[in-house]
Amino acid sequence: MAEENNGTRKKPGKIKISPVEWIAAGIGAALYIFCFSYILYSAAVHDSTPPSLIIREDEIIKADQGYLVKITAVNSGNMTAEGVIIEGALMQGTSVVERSETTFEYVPGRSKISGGIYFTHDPHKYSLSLRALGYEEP
Amino acid sequence: MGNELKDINREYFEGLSRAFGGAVIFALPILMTMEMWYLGFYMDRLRMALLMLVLLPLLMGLSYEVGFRPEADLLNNILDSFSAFGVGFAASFIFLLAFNVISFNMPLDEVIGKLALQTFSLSMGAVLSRGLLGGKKPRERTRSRLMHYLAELFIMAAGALFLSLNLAPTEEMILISFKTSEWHALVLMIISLFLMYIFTYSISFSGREEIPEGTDRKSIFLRFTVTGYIIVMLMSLYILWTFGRTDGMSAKQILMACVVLSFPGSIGAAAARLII
Repeated sequence: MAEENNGTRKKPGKIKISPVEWIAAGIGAALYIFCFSYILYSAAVHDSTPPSLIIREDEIIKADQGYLVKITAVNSGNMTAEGVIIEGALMQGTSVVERSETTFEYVPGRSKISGGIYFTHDPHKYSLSLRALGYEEP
Repeated sequence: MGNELKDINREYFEGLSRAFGGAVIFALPILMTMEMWYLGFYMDRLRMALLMLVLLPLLMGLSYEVGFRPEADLLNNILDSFSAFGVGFAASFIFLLAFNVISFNMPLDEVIGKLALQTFSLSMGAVLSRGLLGGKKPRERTRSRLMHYLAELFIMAAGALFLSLNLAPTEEMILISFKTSEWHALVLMIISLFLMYIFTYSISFSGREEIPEGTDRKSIFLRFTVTGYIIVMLMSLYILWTFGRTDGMSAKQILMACVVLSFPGSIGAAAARLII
């Protein structure tokens, strides 16, 4: 009885399952169970606290158009904030010398996203106030 | 004896690499769509868990339909499905890491969410590729007309699900449903039905059984095209709900969104019947 070489063997009984197949399926099953359980756990534990945004000043460096203040937005809430407008203001006493802003597209829950705001005045000479102006629910 | 084992192993390895390649080919657009990444971390977790539950029978059904080993029994399908998930997960991990969409200093919840969502489509691609890219034609099966019909419906559902997944997250979908009036939606429905109907008629160049001679066109239209479209609409609704796009929307808006999404969905359903 000639056996074809391209692998389409007609076996009278069950197909032989290679050990590699068992391993691959085993790993796949383990990953699946892990993902599924974790997602369920996350669903159970996930109390939806609204986004709570704090903007942190990281570094001030000289840039082409003036100065760059590198910032990090930290969301300590569980929910994601979308379209976060961040405003930076250089203050001299109570008067505002310069205002600048940027928008972060997404700040996920319990995460931080970094970015920067440009100013033409030197931030070192003034006091810098950073805050989030608002967000949207995704 | 040792040689045979080596052969089987090697054959399976080839299958795995085909699965990896197929997963990437099918799911590449999703891998590189930012809305899918974002959905990974903000999507409702319970709905994501449901999606994962749906994935298993979906993979098993596809594995059975596409399978080039008609002798395959339930155990083989289960193994196939899980290894497809593994392959999909691996691909998801590699590419998301390479794109820096996931990194080691992100919270685990975000990483798992992104990985799991991408793996859904990738594992479907993996299962499909094992049959389609292997160059082996599926063997003809003998089964009852009802089972055959249900299998066709299942395949349409899978195809619709797949294309809907590709397009539902994008901003453009929502935009189109805002821009279109009811008349536009009607036109879209008619075009979708028409395209599905045309595809049904060219069914003869796939590996599937041909339509028996003398079948009434009206019968085909009702049984496959219209029924298929209903299934596509249901899949669209399911995907939109899963991604939270139906929350807070009026019934009419939801219907419009479903019609818009059902256009690619119906193409997916029709194409799936041709390909699988």
